[in-house]
Amino acid sequence: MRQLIKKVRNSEFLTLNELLKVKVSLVMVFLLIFGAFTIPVSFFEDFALSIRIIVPSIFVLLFTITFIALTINKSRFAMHFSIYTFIGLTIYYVGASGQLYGYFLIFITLTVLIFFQDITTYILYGGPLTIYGIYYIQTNDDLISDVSETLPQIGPIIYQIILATFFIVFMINFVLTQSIEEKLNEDFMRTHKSNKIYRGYLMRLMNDIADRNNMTREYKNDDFHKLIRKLVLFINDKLDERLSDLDEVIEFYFFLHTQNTQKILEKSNIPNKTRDYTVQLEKYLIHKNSDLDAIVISSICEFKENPSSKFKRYDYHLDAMFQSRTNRILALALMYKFLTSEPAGYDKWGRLNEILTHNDVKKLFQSKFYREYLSFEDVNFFLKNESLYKKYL
Amino acid sequence: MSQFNIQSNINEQIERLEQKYLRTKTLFVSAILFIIMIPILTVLWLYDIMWIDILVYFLSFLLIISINLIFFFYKHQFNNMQLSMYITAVGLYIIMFSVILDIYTASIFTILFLAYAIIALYQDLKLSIFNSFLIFLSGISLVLFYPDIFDSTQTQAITPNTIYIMVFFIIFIALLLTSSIIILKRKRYSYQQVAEIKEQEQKQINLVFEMQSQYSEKPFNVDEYYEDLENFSKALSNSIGIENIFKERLEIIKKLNNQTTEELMTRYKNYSFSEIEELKQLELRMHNKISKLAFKSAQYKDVQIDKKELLFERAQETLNYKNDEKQVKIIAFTVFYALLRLDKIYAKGLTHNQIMHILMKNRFRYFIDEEILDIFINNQSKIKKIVNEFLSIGASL
Repeated sequence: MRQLIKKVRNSEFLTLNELLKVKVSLVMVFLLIFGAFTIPVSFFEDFALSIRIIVPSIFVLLFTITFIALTINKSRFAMHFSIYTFIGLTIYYVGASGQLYGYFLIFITLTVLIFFQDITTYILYGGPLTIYGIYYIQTNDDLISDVSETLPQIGPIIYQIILATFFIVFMINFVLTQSIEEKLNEDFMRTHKSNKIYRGYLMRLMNDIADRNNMTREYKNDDFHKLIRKLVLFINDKLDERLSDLDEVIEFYFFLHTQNTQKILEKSNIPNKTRDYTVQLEKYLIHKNSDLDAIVISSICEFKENPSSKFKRYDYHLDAMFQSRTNRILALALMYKFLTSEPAGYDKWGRLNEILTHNDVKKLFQSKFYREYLSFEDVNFFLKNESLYKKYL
Repeated sequence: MSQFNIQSNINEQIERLEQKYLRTKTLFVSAILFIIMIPILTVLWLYDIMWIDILVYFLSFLLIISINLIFFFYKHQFNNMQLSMYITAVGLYIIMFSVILDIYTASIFTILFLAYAIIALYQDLKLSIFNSFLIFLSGISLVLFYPDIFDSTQTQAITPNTIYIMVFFIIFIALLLTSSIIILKRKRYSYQQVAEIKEQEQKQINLVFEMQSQYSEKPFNVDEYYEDLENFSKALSNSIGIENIFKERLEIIKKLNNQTTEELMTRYKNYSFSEIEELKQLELRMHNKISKLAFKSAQYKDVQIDKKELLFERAQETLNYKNDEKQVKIIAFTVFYALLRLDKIYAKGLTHNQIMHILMKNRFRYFIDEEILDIFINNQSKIKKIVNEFLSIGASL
């Protein structure tokens, strides 16, 4: 339980599958509390003996299936079974008792579906359940209505409207969450891709500078190999279960730096172990724009200065950056000057050395993707005064 | 700029993102409030509630909707969206509670669930906790002090029926609150990731520029940029037939690398603080934002996103891939640590304490195998010693 609470507290760092596992586990806890509380109490209700036996048996069966699915890492399967258990209990209470709490249970089951945060599951199970609730009230309004109702014909309608609205409001919530998440994801992934491109330039520049200055790269340096071996063996000594083939893996790791990993993987006759280690180690090769490079560079950048002004620091559209039209004109001119003077892409030799021509920039400004930076108004201004840009910048 | 200032920029960006999306949600809440207001007023009318009371309900709804809309449309004057959220939450629960007491039937009790659902639309962590507190308070008060709402034959608060209702109520709140906590923590983390990656982007472009200037034979010539800009603006003014409105701005831009906004405001009295701050974005020697923008924009072809990619989990680099062997994870971690300690072409090596600062960040704990990280933390002095020995013998790279 403590582990579960810890995972909820750090849920933002979990993968979707791990998160689903946590959610199913929590639902099972609720299910257990709920079942333990309601099923024994229901024995005192006026139900047939067969129902008193069948319901707990089915509950135990579904609960066990959910539990097994969860332990064998079939989280999605377990999620469906936990939902079936709740839906089963709901239908049992609504149908068998016809009491107000049976109706409340529909809300509880909807909250379980909301809890899983999966719009398809919500519509798939929540939709029919809501329709069932509305239909049940329609056909059994005498059971659910209080005798004290001054307007007995209105009571069921209120139940129905509130249930349907509750379902719809949470559906809107789902759609809203999903659309925000999609926008954030897009923003994140675009920047993530951009950063990978910058790191590519950085790797290339580093290699060129190292070559020019006859510097030995880390992966070619024996001292560095020794250091890594020493550190790896030190950590290995402290592990609960020591690993045996570390020396070979270290050697293979540095060997991979001198090879084309794609070619190794394309070979059909390599042993599976070699293939597996190649795939796994490829992500951590030094100066190959790998995952490791990304983490190293971002860690270094944590301590790098960034003198950019705080003002609209992360805005990149001229409209968002500047209120003043005059400033926008100056910005556009500086952008043009930069693009036609400084390298901003790979040349045919793969170096960061491509400088755009006037026509390239014109094409760039006119492309629809570039609306992320410039408005139509800015582009029209540029086209109208094109000759001045070309002559003076 | 210190580490603290950078973190404050990231936090500000997180706030900005939250406020931006909160505005959209405010609009949705207003629309839903307007829609549900109509059936609620109709039910009150059907139950013969006095017209003056119905009018009060109507005005209360209008007031809440107006507050939301004012905060939505006048973002500069009313920029604290949190305030409108809390006013809406308290206002809505007061309305719903009064409606329940006015109509006094079990059926209308469930309107509290609806109030909860509407407030949950704001998707704010503190508000979610407050929302749960409000529904709990309202629900339990009704069960304890007005038990005859649920069964007119009951006058006692504690009956099997009310116990059932209370248990369901608690489960309902506990589930939704846990759900909200998970969603909102992830959402906050999502905002944080976006903010951090944007800061990283600027720093990585800076690194590319630094390396490029080291490598290139033709350094970035700021004076040439300003001179060309001056000539261009003169020619442009002549061509349009206006006086040179750019001249003074260019003067300020040139001075921005060694004078503060306040100093420039004293000299150029026609310029406000935000106008000078805006001009900082055009300054090239120190802030250099426009070059970053131009460089970033030139990569646009390679950063397009396929809609399908958005359906998958965010790609995040890690040293803790689930399917990697332990051997691989140890090598990855040790190379990571050693590389950070060494001086590189683009940066000086980090100190052990700086690396510890990074590793102690919560998210890093998930990027590194837990057992390896624990060994590292528990044996840091020995590991530090091994690397220091290596650095002290001047192992050249």
